[in-house]
Amino acid sequence: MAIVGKSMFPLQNSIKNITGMKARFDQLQLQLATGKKASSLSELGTDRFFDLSMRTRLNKLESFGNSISSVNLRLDVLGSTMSRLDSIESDQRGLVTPGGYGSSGINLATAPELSKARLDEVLNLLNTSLDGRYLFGGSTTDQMPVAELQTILDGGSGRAGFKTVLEERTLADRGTDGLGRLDLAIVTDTVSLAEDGTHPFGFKLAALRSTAAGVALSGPAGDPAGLTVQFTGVPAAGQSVEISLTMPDGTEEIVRLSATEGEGGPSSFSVSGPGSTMASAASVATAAGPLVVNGQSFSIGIGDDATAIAALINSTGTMGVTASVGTGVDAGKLILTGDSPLTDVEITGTVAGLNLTAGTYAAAASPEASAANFAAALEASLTRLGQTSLAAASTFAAAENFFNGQGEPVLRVDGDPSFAEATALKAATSSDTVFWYKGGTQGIKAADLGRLALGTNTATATTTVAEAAPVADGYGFRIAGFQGALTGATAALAGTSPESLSVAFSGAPAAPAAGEAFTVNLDLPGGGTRNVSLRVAPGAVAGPGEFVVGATDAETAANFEAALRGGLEVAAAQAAGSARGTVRAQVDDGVNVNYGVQANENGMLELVRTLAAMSTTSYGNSDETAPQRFDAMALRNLARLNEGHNNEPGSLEVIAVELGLAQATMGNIGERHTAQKAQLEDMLGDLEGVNSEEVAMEILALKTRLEASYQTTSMIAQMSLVNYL
Amino acid sequence: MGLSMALSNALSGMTVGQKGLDLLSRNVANAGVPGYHRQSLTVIDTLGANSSYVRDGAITRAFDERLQHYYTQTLSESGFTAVRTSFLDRLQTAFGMPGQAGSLDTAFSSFQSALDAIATSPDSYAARAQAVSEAQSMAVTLNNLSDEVQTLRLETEGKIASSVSDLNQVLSSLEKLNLSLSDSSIDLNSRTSLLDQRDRLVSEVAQVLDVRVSYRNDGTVALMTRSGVGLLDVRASKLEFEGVGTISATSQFSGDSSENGVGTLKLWTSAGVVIDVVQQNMLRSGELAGLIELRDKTLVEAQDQLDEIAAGLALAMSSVKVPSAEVTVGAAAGFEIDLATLGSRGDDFTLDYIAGGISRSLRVVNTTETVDYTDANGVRVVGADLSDPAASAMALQAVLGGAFTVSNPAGTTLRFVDDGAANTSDVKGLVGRATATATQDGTLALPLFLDNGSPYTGALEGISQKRGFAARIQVNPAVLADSALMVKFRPEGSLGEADRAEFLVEQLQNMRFVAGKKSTSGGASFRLSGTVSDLITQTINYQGSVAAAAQGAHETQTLKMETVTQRMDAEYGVDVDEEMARLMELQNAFAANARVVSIVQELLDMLMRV
Repeated sequence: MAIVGKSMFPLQNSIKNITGMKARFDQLQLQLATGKKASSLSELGTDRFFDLSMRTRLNKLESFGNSISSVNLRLDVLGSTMSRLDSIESDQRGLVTPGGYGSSGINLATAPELSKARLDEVLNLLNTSLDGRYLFGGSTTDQMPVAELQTILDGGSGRAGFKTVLEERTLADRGTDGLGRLDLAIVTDTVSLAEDGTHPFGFKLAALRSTAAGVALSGPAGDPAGLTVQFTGVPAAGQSVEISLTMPDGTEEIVRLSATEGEGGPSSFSVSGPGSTMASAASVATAAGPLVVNGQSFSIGIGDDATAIAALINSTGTMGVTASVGTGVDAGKLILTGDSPLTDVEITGTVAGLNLTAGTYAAAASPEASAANFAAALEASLTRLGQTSLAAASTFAAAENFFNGQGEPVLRVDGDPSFAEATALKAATSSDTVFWYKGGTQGIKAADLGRLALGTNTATATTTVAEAAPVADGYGFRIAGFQGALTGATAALAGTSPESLSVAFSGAPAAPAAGEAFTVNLDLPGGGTRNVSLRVAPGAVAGPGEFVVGATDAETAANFEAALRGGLEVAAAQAAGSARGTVRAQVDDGVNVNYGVQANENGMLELVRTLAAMSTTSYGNSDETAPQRFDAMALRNLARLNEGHNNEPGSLEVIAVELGLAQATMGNIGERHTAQKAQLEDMLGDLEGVNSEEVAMEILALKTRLEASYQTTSMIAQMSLVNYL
Repeated sequence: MGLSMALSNALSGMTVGQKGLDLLSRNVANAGVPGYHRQSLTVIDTLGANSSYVRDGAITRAFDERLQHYYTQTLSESGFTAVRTSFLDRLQTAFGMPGQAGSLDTAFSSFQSALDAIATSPDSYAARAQAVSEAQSMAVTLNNLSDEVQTLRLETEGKIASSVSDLNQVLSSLEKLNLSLSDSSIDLNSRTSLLDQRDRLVSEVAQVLDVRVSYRNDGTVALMTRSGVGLLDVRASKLEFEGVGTISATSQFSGDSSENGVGTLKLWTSAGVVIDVVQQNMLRSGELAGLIELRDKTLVEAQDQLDEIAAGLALAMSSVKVPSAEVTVGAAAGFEIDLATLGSRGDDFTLDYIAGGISRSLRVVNTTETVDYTDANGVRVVGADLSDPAASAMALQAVLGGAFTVSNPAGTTLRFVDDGAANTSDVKGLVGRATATATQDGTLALPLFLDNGSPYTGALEGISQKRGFAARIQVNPAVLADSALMVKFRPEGSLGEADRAEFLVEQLQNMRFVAGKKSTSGGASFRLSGTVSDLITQTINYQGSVAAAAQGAHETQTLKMETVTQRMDAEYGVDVDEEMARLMELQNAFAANARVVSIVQELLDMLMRV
């Protein structure tokens, strides 16, 4: 049985008090020893709740502190890596400049090797890992974000590397005849130049201008685009015709052909008889005369044609010049080709009836002759351009295809039937091509509307939004469908991959009524959907997501396109998000710092693309086009590594600034936490801890009381009448 | 008349003096014996025909019935509070001090920190392993606490059994004692000691049970509980306790013997009636009442709170938000939800609506049980068998009334729309909550904690899955085997994706729970609510305050007890000084009487010599 029932009546009250004091004494001793006020939950009393909530908060602060310190370390490493990348960028910019061949063209020899070494360093930097965590792969931190240099360039395990992709692309851009996928034809007095198909390769005809009299221009028009130059009179010397060509990498080159009288300084030239076209008439000399090529004189007899002259020149064979007879459009032409460099070919002397031209054409009396000369000169220029600028542009285009950025698939030339006649790009698969970047990436790129193309055909008043070809899984929006109907407009889906949606406005006067809505449904690459809704504006001013009905269908279609573009831009920007947001750390209640960096962001991407392009192009000593090719490459090198890109999203500088901001934010929060923690620990100490001086004092006081109690109790106990009987 | 009279007077004085001495010696000898009541002698001064002499009257035993009643009652209450204090003190020790290693809040804090660390470094093996082991220690802490609670419950049973057997012995002793006391032929001296024994036995009973004592004139006692059931009246009643071997969280008291999972305490009255003591709520105070309250209420409540914590923890990790779709049917607008996504029992959805201008919420739980109550936040909770959409639609239509249309348009879709043009009602929102059961199916939620190997969904079927979950909670063996599951929510995902860890952290921070049950043993009504961390804080705080309240109550009782004891000491106790003084008095009286005798003797001698 418990003690309660065993109360001894005579147990003196004073004894109880003494045991009470003794218990308190023990408690004080415990407090002094542990420094804690309470040893059980109930003893904590009302402080219990505060104690628990303070501990919860303290623990949270500690968690935040841990996060902050590990993120800080990562940011430090990221910061130093970014600044090294930036210095590589500026070094590379200084290395290759147009015209900067160095003494005895040393730069021509060293630029590729230097670029390659830098590419290696950049790739290594992008594979920076800290404690097993790769920092440049966005949220994919557990594998190397970028492949190694050797694999990227040469491929491996049956997968193609950059060099293969580049080779394919070069073939596709150059075409079978080296004219950059352009077809050149001449019919009597008309020279026509046309793209050989609808595809992204080779030269694209952009514009045609002329200052020359007696020349009728048309085009470029049609799809594939074509243009014609018709000679109706005789252009005066110095008057020119210009053809603007868009290169595969988006740059533009202009071919300018000026009329001359007499000869020019050729890298190649054509010979043709007056009044006859090169293709149809026999090209014969009408009078004998000397022809001097590189100082060597040949006598041309009357009636000698191009074949005979070529045989004559080749039989001599000592001038570093090879003569041949053109075929196709050039049939009947004599073509002289210098070994290297071609500019060394010098031609003097005039053979009656023969005009010698190079880069220029002879404005002959007859339009047909002029046309023939023009065509010959044009072909020479295009061929030359194909070896220099087009080659450079092709290299950079291949780099763009191979080194895919955010929201872009890896593309390769679809070599069917052959690469030189390719008509499309295809999405590479991971089994046939090395993917340079394997980290996390955004499926949507804001800049290209998420791989959607938007356009309006004014003639048919039709706005079309189409998926970019080739469609690649995991990249870009897919058109899922549409909702709603607009009065007088017909919406229709066409195709499958790529799919397109066209809205034809053909209903005037039954125009779309105010308030009517039209929604385009898009599927996101990673799953999920996004809708772009447009409404017909009630008045003449369109608010966000609205379009105004114009006076004509075409105007309405244009307004619709503008509104849809706005909607798609917003949708793409939202879907793309920011690479920074792919890695977060919570450093305070409701405060996340974002510090994700993906190696395929613009800054790093352009650096890698440029370095890869520069390192795979070599400039041989014996190559006559080398300086020009070097210049073309250098121009692109400059353009891409220009400081002007600094303020673009994803540039090295923008990333560095954003990371710096994150670090600063975190620093401030960390300081606040430290202060808060100290405060909380103080308070917790007050709650839980005990003031040892106080306890000591109390023990002292208690001791005195206890001793006094013992004394008096023993005195009282002895004071019994029994002792005095 | 004369000398002989003086002699007889003196002799009577000496006899009384001797008796007084006898009594005094007994008082002194028994000073300090528990339960001994001071005795005193009544002296009667008698007037004879020609003399006046003293003789001894009855021996009076110090006794105050009112004081005795008060003592009995205080004793019961002390018994009640003492047993509660000792058990609750052990319980609070099990819970540990805040911040102490092994305490619930420390385990949870460490678990939370480990999750935070994964969110920052999901690719770190060490961080993941740490989180898994913290999750395990969290589960083990809950298991241990739950075990501790159930062990304490089992101990109460043992204690009840031994108390009952003691009590039965005491009652039968009292029965015999009553018989002896009612025998009037018994010697007066032994009678007082029998009375002392009687009071001792009564106080032993009072400590265990709350009794009301009737003292009869012949010194016998009748006992009945304060609730009015006779324990002893000539014949003693018998208590019978049938304990159970094991006790788990699911074994609880029930009046229905088929569902009762704990020991039964029965009283066989002398009249042969059998009463279930617990079911009839017969005991208000005393050790037995304290033990029963601990077993059936206080400790069950502690278990319930642990279960709430365990359930909250499991659900925070595994809850998936199921979205609904807006739908319009003519003018009527509303939402619809696919019930196939809420396939587990215990999954639920919450409908926010406006009816009659007042915003309301309705939570529908997937269950076949009948559920209909309003929770602490004013949300009405009803049960519906969501595996049968058509029947659910009908049942919910009845719940919501005519201002809404609940339908099952096709398949497993359940649709709620308002009354359209009449515009007296509005459906504002509908969101479902399902339980993730797979570890890697692309949902961020993770069934990190399992109930004996199967997912915890909070099913209400039969015995609610929540009951005793704290004892069964364990870390998913799949996660133990592969800590990468803490991060990889899809097989093709990267270890660098912090989404799952961030989701789990956020769930722990934001997901709120409301306990279905109120806890009342601490006095004020109290219901756990809030995040898992809140639940834990509240539980520790609550258990601390329950222990503190029990200690406080016990201290009060101890004080009361002391006061009574002092009073009893004053009333019944032997004051040796007083007895010594009386001894001198008696000595003097005896000497005086002896002197009288000797003088009478001398006088008689002188008379004889004459």
